[in-house]
Amino acid sequence: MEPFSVFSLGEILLVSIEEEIDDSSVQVLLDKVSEIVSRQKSYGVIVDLQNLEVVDSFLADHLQQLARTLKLQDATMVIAGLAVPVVMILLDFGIKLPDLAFALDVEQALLRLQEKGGYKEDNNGPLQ
Amino acid sequence: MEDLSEIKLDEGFLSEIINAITSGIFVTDLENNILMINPAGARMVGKSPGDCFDRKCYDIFDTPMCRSEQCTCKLSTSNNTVNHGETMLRVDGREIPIEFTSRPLRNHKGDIIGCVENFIDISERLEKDRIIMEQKEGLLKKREEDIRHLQDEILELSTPVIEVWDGIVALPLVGTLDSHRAHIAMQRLLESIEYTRSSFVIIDITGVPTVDSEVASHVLQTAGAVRLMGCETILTGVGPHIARVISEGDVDLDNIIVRARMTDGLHYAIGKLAERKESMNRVASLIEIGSSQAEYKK
Repeated sequence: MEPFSVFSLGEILLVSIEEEIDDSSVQVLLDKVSEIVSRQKSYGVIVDLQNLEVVDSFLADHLQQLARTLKLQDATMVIAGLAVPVVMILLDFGIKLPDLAFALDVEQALLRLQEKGGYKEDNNGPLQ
Repeated sequence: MEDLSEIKLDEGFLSEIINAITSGIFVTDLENNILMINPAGARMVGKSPGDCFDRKCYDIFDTPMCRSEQCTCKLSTSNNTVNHGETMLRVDGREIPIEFTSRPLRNHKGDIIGCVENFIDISERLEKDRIIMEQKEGLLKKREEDIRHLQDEILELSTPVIEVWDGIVALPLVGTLDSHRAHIAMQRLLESIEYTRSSFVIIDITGVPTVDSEVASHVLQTAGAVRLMGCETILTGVGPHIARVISEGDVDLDNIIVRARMTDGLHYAIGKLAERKESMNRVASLIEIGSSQAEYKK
Protein backbone atom coordinates (compact mmCIF):
# COMPACT_ATOMS: atom_id res chain seq x y z
CA MET A 1 0.00 0.00 0.00
CA GLU A 2 1.51 3.25 -1.07
CA PRO A 3 1.44 6.21 1.31
CA PHE A 4 -0.40 8.37 -1.21
CA SER A 5 -3.61 8.19 -3.26
CA VAL A 6 -4.40 9.58 -6.70
CA PHE A 7 -7.97 10.48 -7.63
CA SER A 8 -9.00 11.51 -11.08
CA LEU A 9 -11.56 14.32 -11.25
CA GLY A 10 -12.11 14.55 -14.96
CA GLU A 11 -9.09 16.36 -16.34
CA ILE A 12 -7.83 17.27 -12.93
CA LEU A 13 -5.78 14.90 -10.82
CA LEU A 14 -5.97 15.01 -7.03
CA VAL A 15 -2.97 13.55 -5.21
CA SER A 16 -3.29 13.13 -1.48
CA ILE A 17 -0.15 12.38 0.49
CA GLU A 18 -0.31 10.51 3.80
CA GLU A 19 1.27 11.64 7.03
CA GLU A 20 4.53 9.79 6.47
CA ILE A 21 5.95 9.30 3.04
CA ASP A 22 9.39 7.78 2.61
CA ASP A 23 11.88 8.83 -0.01
CA SER A 24 11.43 5.84 -2.31
CA SER A 25 7.66 6.34 -2.35
CA VAL A 26 8.22 9.94 -3.43
CA GLN A 27 10.00 8.63 -6.52
CA VAL A 28 7.13 6.23 -7.22
CA LEU A 29 4.69 9.12 -6.81
CA LEU A 30 6.54 11.25 -9.35
CA ASP A 31 6.57 8.52 -11.96
CA LYS A 32 2.96 7.58 -11.42
CA VAL A 33 1.56 11.11 -11.51
CA SER A 34 3.53 12.01 -14.59
CA GLU A 35 2.33 8.86 -16.33
CA ILE A 36 -1.34 9.37 -15.45
CA VAL A 37 -1.21 13.00 -16.57
CA SER A 38 0.15 11.92 -19.92
CA ARG A 39 -2.43 9.13 -20.31
CA GLN A 40 -5.48 11.08 -19.22
CA LYS A 41 -4.42 14.41 -20.70
CA SER A 42 -5.00 16.14 -17.37
CA TYR A 43 -4.39 19.87 -17.38
CA GLY A 44 -4.12 20.28 -13.62
CA VAL A 45 -2.72 18.40 -10.65
CA ILE A 46 -3.59 19.21 -7.05
CA VAL A 47 -1.22 17.85 -4.43
CA ASP A 48 -2.96 17.86 -1.06
CA LEU A 49 -0.46 18.07 1.80
CA GLN A 50 -2.84 18.75 4.68
CA ASN A 51 -1.99 15.47 6.41
CA LEU A 52 1.72 16.22 6.46
CA GLU A 53 3.36 17.43 9.63
CA VAL A 54 6.66 18.30 8.03
CA VAL A 55 7.96 18.85 4.52
CA ASP A 56 11.66 18.07 4.33
CA SER A 57 14.03 19.32 1.66
CA PHE A 58 13.92 15.99 -0.18
CA LEU A 59 10.17 16.10 -0.61
CA ALA A 60 10.34 19.83 -1.41
CA ASP A 61 12.92 19.25 -4.16
CA HIS A 62 10.93 16.41 -5.67
CA LEU A 63 7.69 18.36 -5.62
CA GLN A 64 9.46 21.15 -7.48
CA GLN A 65 10.80 18.65 -9.94
CA LEU A 66 7.30 17.23 -10.43
CA ALA A 67 5.95 20.74 -11.05
CA ARG A 68 8.58 21.34 -13.75
CA THR A 69 7.92 17.96 -15.32
CA LEU A 70 4.18 18.61 -15.42
CA LYS A 71 4.75 22.02 -16.95
CA LEU A 72 6.49 20.30 -19.86
CA GLN A 73 3.43 18.08 -20.16
CA ASP A 74 1.22 21.19 -20.37
CA ALA A 75 -0.26 20.68 -16.91
CA THR A 76 -0.30 22.98 -13.90
CA MET A 77 0.43 21.74 -10.41
CA VAL A 78 -0.98 23.37 -7.26
CA ILE A 79 0.00 22.49 -3.69
CA ALA A 80 -2.93 22.64 -1.28
CA GLY A 81 -3.40 22.58 2.47
CA LEU A 82 0.00 23.44 3.93
CA ALA A 83 -0.51 23.91 7.69
CA VAL A 84 0.94 26.89 9.56
CA PRO A 85 3.59 24.85 11.45
CA VAL A 86 4.74 23.27 8.19
CA VAL A 87 5.08 26.73 6.62
CA MET A 88 7.04 28.01 9.61
CA ILE A 89 9.44 25.06 9.40
CA LEU A 90 9.92 25.55 5.66
CA LEU A 91 10.80 29.19 6.28
CA ASP A 92 13.16 28.35 9.13
CA PHE A 93 15.01 25.95 6.86
CA GLY A 94 15.04 28.57 4.09
CA ILE A 95 13.18 26.31 1.66
CA LYS A 96 11.66 28.68 -0.89
CA LEU A 97 9.81 26.47 -3.43
CA PRO A 98 9.88 29.04 -6.27
CA ASP A 99 8.45 26.71 -8.93
CA LEU A 100 5.30 25.78 -7.05
CA ALA A 101 1.85 27.34 -6.88
CA PHE A 102 -0.11 27.15 -3.66
CA ALA A 103 -3.71 27.15 -2.50
CA LEU A 104 -5.27 27.16 0.92
CA ASP A 105 -7.23 23.96 0.35
CA VAL A 106 -8.39 21.64 -2.44
CA GLU A 107 -11.43 23.79 -3.19
CA GLN A 108 -9.33 26.90 -3.73
CA ALA A 109 -6.86 24.88 -5.76
CA LEU A 110 -9.64 23.78 -8.10
CA LEU A 111 -10.69 27.40 -8.51
CA ARG A 112 -7.16 28.42 -9.20
CA LEU A 113 -6.69 25.80 -11.88
CA GLN A 114 -9.88 26.87 -13.61
CA GLU A 115 -8.78 30.49 -13.42
CA LYS A 116 -5.45 29.65 -15.00
CA GLY A 117 -7.20 28.83 -18.26
CA GLY A 118 -6.84 25.12 -18.08
CA TYR A 119 -10.57 25.13 -18.49
CA LYS A 120 -11.46 24.64 -22.12
CA GLU A 121 -14.89 25.78 -23.18
CA ASP A 122 -14.95 23.77 -26.39
CA ASN A 123 -15.08 20.41 -24.63
CA ASN A 124 -17.67 21.39 -22.05
CA GLY A 125 -15.41 21.73 -19.04
CA PRO A 126 -13.37 19.54 -16.84
CA LEU A 127 -16.15 18.14 -14.72
CA GLN A 128 -18.25 16.72 -17.49
CA MET B 1 42.13 62.22 86.73
CA GLU B 2 44.36 64.80 85.23
CA ASP B 3 43.40 67.06 82.35
CA LEU B 4 44.21 65.55 78.95
CA SER B 5 46.70 68.28 78.04
CA GLU B 6 48.76 67.45 81.11
CA ILE B 7 49.25 63.85 80.18
CA LYS B 8 52.71 63.12 78.91
CA LEU B 9 52.92 60.78 76.00
CA ASP B 10 54.94 58.25 77.87
CA GLU B 11 55.14 54.56 77.11
CA GLY B 12 52.53 53.52 79.63
CA PHE B 13 49.95 55.91 78.29
CA LEU B 14 50.56 54.82 74.67
CA SER B 15 50.01 51.21 75.61
CA GLU B 16 46.81 52.27 77.38
CA ILE B 17 45.60 53.79 74.12
CA ILE B 18 46.54 50.66 72.15
CA ASN B 19 44.69 48.50 74.68
CA ALA B 20 41.61 50.70 74.33
CA ILE B 21 41.43 50.42 70.53
CA THR B 22 38.73 48.01 69.33
CA SER B 23 40.64 46.75 66.29
CA GLY B 24 43.33 44.15 66.80
CA ILE B 25 46.98 45.20 66.82
CA PHE B 26 50.04 43.03 67.28
CA VAL B 27 53.79 43.32 66.81
CA THR B 28 56.07 40.50 65.74
CA ASP B 29 59.81 40.20 65.40
CA LEU B 30 61.48 38.87 62.24
CA GLU B 31 60.98 35.27 63.47
CA ASN B 32 57.18 35.67 63.70
CA ASN B 33 57.20 35.72 67.54
CA ILE B 34 54.49 37.91 68.98
CA LEU B 35 56.13 40.64 71.05
CA MET B 36 52.99 42.55 71.90
CA ILE B 37 49.26 42.21 71.29
CA ASN B 38 46.29 44.29 72.42
CA PRO B 39 43.28 42.70 74.20
CA ALA B 40 40.92 43.32 71.25
CA GLY B 41 43.22 41.35 68.93
CA ALA B 42 43.54 38.47 71.37
CA ARG B 43 39.79 38.44 72.02
CA MET B 44 39.09 37.97 68.36
CA VAL B 45 40.73 34.55 68.51
CA GLY B 46 39.25 33.82 71.94
CA LYS B 47 42.46 34.29 73.93
CA SER B 48 43.96 36.80 76.35
CA PRO B 49 47.09 38.83 75.53
CA GLY B 50 49.07 36.68 77.99
CA ASP B 51 48.19 33.48 76.05
CA CYS B 52 49.56 34.96 72.86
CA PHE B 53 52.74 36.49 74.14
CA ASP B 54 55.98 34.98 72.81
CA ARG B 55 54.15 32.49 70.58
CA LYS B 56 54.41 32.27 66.81
CA CYS B 57 51.81 34.47 65.12
CA TYR B 58 50.79 31.67 62.75
CA ASP B 59 49.91 29.47 65.74
CA ILE B 60 47.55 32.10 67.11
CA PHE B 61 46.16 33.51 63.90
CA ASP B 62 45.37 30.81 61.41
CA THR B 63 44.75 32.25 57.94
CA PRO B 64 45.17 30.77 54.43
CA MET B 65 48.25 32.95 53.83
CA CYS B 66 50.15 31.92 56.98
CA ARG B 67 53.23 29.74 56.61
CA SER B 68 53.40 30.57 52.91
CA GLU B 69 55.15 33.00 50.62
CA GLN B 70 52.07 35.19 50.97
CA CYS B 71 52.72 35.86 54.70
CA THR B 72 52.01 39.55 55.02
CA CYS B 73 54.69 40.08 57.72
CA LYS B 74 57.31 38.52 55.56
CA LEU B 75 56.21 40.56 52.54
CA SER B 76 56.25 43.89 54.30
CA THR B 77 59.53 43.29 56.18
CA SER B 78 61.45 41.94 53.20
CA ASN B 79 60.09 44.46 50.67
CA ASN B 80 59.79 47.35 53.11
CA THR B 81 56.20 47.99 52.03
CA VAL B 82 52.80 48.52 53.55
CA ASN B 83 50.48 45.61 52.87
CA HIS B 84 46.69 45.74 52.77
CA GLY B 85 44.31 42.89 52.23
CA GLU B 86 41.37 40.78 53.24
CA THR B 87 41.51 37.20 54.43
CA MET B 88 39.76 34.62 56.56
CA LEU B 89 40.66 34.02 60.17
CA ARG B 90 39.97 30.46 61.33
CA VAL B 91 38.91 30.28 64.98
CA ASP B 92 37.50 27.08 66.50
CA GLY B 93 36.23 25.90 63.12
CA ARG B 94 34.56 29.23 62.40
CA GLU B 95 35.75 31.60 59.73
CA ILE B 96 35.87 35.33 60.42
CA PRO B 97 36.50 37.64 57.47
CA ILE B 98 39.10 40.29 58.36
CA GLU B 99 40.76 43.23 56.73
CA PHE B 100 44.41 43.71 57.69
CA THR B 101 47.29 46.15 57.26
CA SER B 102 50.90 45.35 58.01
CA ARG B 103 53.87 47.66 58.00
CA PRO B 104 57.53 47.13 58.87
CA LEU B 105 58.73 48.23 62.32
CA ARG B 106 62.09 50.00 62.56
CA ASN B 107 64.45 50.76 65.44
CA HIS B 108 65.92 54.21 65.98
CA LYS B 109 68.75 53.41 63.53
CA GLY B 110 66.21 52.69 60.78
CA ASP B 111 66.76 48.93 60.53
CA ILE B 112 63.70 46.77 60.12
CA ILE B 113 63.31 44.73 63.27
CA GLY B 114 59.77 43.48 63.02
CA CYS B 115 56.27 44.01 61.77
CA VAL B 116 53.17 45.79 63.06
CA GLU B 117 49.85 44.37 62.00
CA ASN B 118 46.40 45.68 62.64
CA PHE B 119 43.16 44.00 61.63
CA ILE B 120 39.42 44.40 61.99
CA ASP B 121 36.50 42.01 61.80
CA ILE B 122 34.55 42.83 58.62
CA SER B 123 31.89 40.12 58.81
CA GLU B 124 29.17 42.65 59.59
CA ARG B 125 30.22 44.82 56.72
CA LEU B 126 30.26 41.89 54.33
CA GLU B 127 26.85 40.82 55.56
CA LYS B 128 25.51 44.31 54.89
CA ASP B 129 27.12 44.32 51.46
CA ARG B 130 25.53 41.00 50.74
CA ILE B 131 22.08 42.26 51.75
CA ILE B 132 22.50 45.37 49.63
CA MET B 133 23.57 43.26 46.66
CA GLU B 134 20.59 40.97 47.15
CA GLN B 135 18.20 43.89 47.25
CA LYS B 136 19.82 45.38 44.20
CA GLU B 137 19.52 42.12 42.31
CA GLY B 138 15.91 41.78 43.38
CA LEU B 139 15.12 45.25 42.11
CA LEU B 140 16.91 44.63 38.82
CA LYS B 141 15.09 41.36 38.37
CA LYS B 142 11.76 42.99 39.03
CA ARG B 143 12.54 45.75 36.58
CA GLU B 144 13.55 43.26 33.92
CA GLU B 145 10.31 41.39 34.49
CA ASP B 146 8.34 44.60 34.18
CA ILE B 147 10.10 45.48 30.97
CA ARG B 148 9.52 42.03 29.53
CA HIS B 149 5.88 42.25 30.49
CA LEU B 150 5.56 45.61 28.79
CA GLN B 151 7.29 44.30 25.69
CA ASP B 152 4.81 41.43 25.54
CA GLU B 153 1.97 43.91 25.91
CA ILE B 154 3.34 46.00 23.08
CA LEU B 155 3.66 42.91 20.89
CA GLU B 156 0.05 42.04 21.65
CA LEU B 157 -1.07 45.53 20.80
CA SER B 158 1.00 46.15 17.76
CA THR B 159 0.37 43.16 15.53
CA PRO B 160 -3.37 42.87 14.99
CA VAL B 161 -4.64 40.99 11.97
CA ILE B 162 -7.87 42.53 10.73
CA GLU B 163 -10.48 40.99 8.46
CA VAL B 164 -11.30 43.89 6.15
CA TRP B 165 -13.43 41.99 3.64
CA ASP B 166 -14.61 38.45 3.04
CA GLY B 167 -11.44 36.68 2.03
CA ILE B 168 -9.14 39.64 2.70
CA VAL B 169 -7.11 40.18 5.87
CA ALA B 170 -4.96 43.22 6.62
CA LEU B 171 -1.85 43.48 8.74
CA PRO B 172 -1.12 47.12 9.51
CA LEU B 173 2.38 47.34 10.92
CA VAL B 174 3.14 50.18 13.32
CA GLY B 175 6.47 51.16 14.84
CA THR B 176 9.83 49.52 14.46
CA LEU B 177 10.02 45.91 13.40
CA ASP B 178 12.62 43.62 14.91
CA SER B 179 12.98 39.99 14.02
CA HIS B 180 11.11 38.84 17.13
CA ARG B 181 8.10 41.01 16.33
CA ALA B 182 8.24 40.12 12.67
CA HIS B 183 8.20 36.44 13.57
CA ILE B 184 5.18 36.80 15.83
CA ALA B 185 3.34 38.92 13.26
CA MET B 186 4.04 36.30 10.63
CA GLN B 187 2.73 33.45 12.75
CA ARG B 188 -0.44 35.37 13.63
CA LEU B 189 -1.00 36.25 10.01
CA LEU B 190 -0.64 32.64 8.86
CA GLU B 191 -2.98 31.42 11.58
CA SER B 192 -5.62 33.96 10.68
CA ILE B 193 -5.32 33.08 6.99
CA GLU B 194 -5.96 29.47 7.90
CA TYR B 195 -8.85 30.44 10.15
CA THR B 196 -10.56 32.96 7.86
CA ARG B 197 -9.80 31.09 4.61
CA SER B 198 -8.64 34.33 3.05
CA SER B 199 -7.12 34.62 -0.41
CA PHE B 200 -5.52 38.05 0.00
CA VAL B 201 -3.31 39.66 2.62
CA ILE B 202 -2.68 43.38 2.69
CA ILE B 203 0.46 44.32 4.61
CA ASP B 204 0.37 48.05 5.24
CA ILE B 205 3.60 49.67 6.41
CA THR B 206 2.46 53.30 6.51
CA GLY B 207 3.12 53.27 10.26
CA VAL B 208 6.68 51.99 9.97
CA PRO B 209 9.00 55.01 10.13
CA THR B 210 12.19 53.48 8.78
CA VAL B 211 13.20 50.14 7.48
CA ASP B 212 16.61 48.54 7.27
CA SER B 213 17.43 45.70 4.93
CA GLU B 214 16.80 43.20 7.74
CA VAL B 215 13.25 44.41 8.25
CA ALA B 216 12.68 44.48 4.51
CA SER B 217 13.74 40.86 4.35
CA HIS B 218 11.32 40.05 7.19
CA VAL B 219 8.44 41.55 5.23
CA LEU B 220 9.46 39.64 2.13
CA GLN B 221 9.83 36.46 4.13
CA THR B 222 6.31 36.94 5.42
CA ALA B 223 5.15 37.35 1.85
CA GLY B 224 6.91 34.07 1.03
CA ALA B 225 5.12 32.32 3.88
CA VAL B 226 1.80 33.77 2.76
CA ARG B 227 2.43 32.38 -0.71
CA LEU B 228 2.96 28.90 0.71
CA MET B 229 -0.49 29.16 2.27
CA GLY B 230 -1.91 29.77 -1.19
CA CYS B 231 -2.59 33.42 -0.56
CA GLU B 232 -1.46 36.60 -2.29
CA THR B 233 0.35 39.45 -0.57
CA ILE B 234 -0.33 43.07 -1.35
CA LEU B 235 2.18 45.51 0.12
CA THR B 236 0.89 49.04 0.65
CA GLY B 237 1.99 52.28 2.25
CA VAL B 238 5.63 52.12 1.19
CA GLY B 239 7.09 55.58 1.76
CA PRO B 240 9.87 57.08 -0.38
CA HIS B 241 12.57 56.30 2.19
CA ILE B 242 11.55 52.67 2.59
CA ALA B 243 11.20 52.31 -1.18
CA ARG B 244 14.82 53.45 -1.54
CA VAL B 245 16.05 50.98 1.07
CA ILE B 246 14.19 48.06 -0.48
CA SER B 247 15.31 48.91 -4.01
CA GLU B 248 18.94 49.29 -2.98
CA GLY B 249 19.09 45.84 -1.40
CA ASP B 250 18.92 42.94 -3.77
CA VAL B 251 15.54 41.61 -2.75
CA ASP B 252 13.24 39.88 -5.12
CA LEU B 253 9.74 41.32 -5.26
CA ASP B 254 8.36 38.69 -7.59
CA ASN B 255 5.65 37.30 -5.37
CA ILE B 256 4.50 40.63 -4.00
CA ILE B 257 1.95 42.99 -5.47
CA VAL B 258 2.64 46.58 -4.47
CA ARG B 259 -0.03 49.26 -4.32
CA ALA B 260 0.41 52.83 -3.13
CA ARG B 261 -2.30 53.08 -0.51
CA MET B 262 -4.24 50.50 1.44
CA THR B 263 -7.35 51.65 -0.45
CA ASP B 264 -5.71 50.70 -3.75
CA GLY B 265 -4.71 47.35 -2.33
CA LEU B 266 -8.25 46.71 -1.19
CA HIS B 267 -9.63 47.71 -4.62
CA TYR B 268 -7.27 45.30 -6.30
CA ALA B 269 -8.10 42.42 -3.98
CA ILE B 270 -11.87 42.95 -4.16
CA GLY B 271 -11.66 43.14 -7.96
CA LYS B 272 -9.73 39.88 -8.10
CA LEU B 273 -12.18 38.19 -5.77
CA ALA B 274 -15.10 39.33 -7.94
CA GLU B 275 -13.35 37.94 -11.03
CA ARG B 276 -12.87 34.61 -9.34
CA LYS B 277 -16.46 34.48 -8.22
CA GLU B 278 -17.60 35.18 -11.73
CA SER B 279 -15.47 32.43 -13.20
CA MET B 280 -16.76 30.07 -10.54
CA ASN B 281 -20.34 30.97 -11.41
CA ARG B 282 -19.55 30.37 -15.02
CA VAL B 283 -18.21 26.93 -14.23
CA ALA B 284 -21.19 26.18 -12.00
CA SER B 285 -23.67 27.13 -14.75
CA LEU B 286 -21.77 25.01 -17.24
CA ILE B 287 -21.93 22.09 -14.84
CA GLU B 288 -25.67 22.65 -14.56
CA ILE B 289 -26.01 22.64 -18.34
CA GLY B 290 -23.83 19.55 -18.49
CA SER B 291 -25.89 17.66 -15.93
CA SER B 292 -29.21 18.65 -17.54
CA GLN B 293 -27.87 17.46 -20.87
CA ALA B 294 -26.91 14.20 -19.22
CA GLU B 295 -30.42 13.85 -17.81
CA TYR B 296 -31.86 14.64 -21.23
CA LYS B 297 -29.77 11.87 -22.76
CA LYS B 298 -31.26 9.40 -20.29
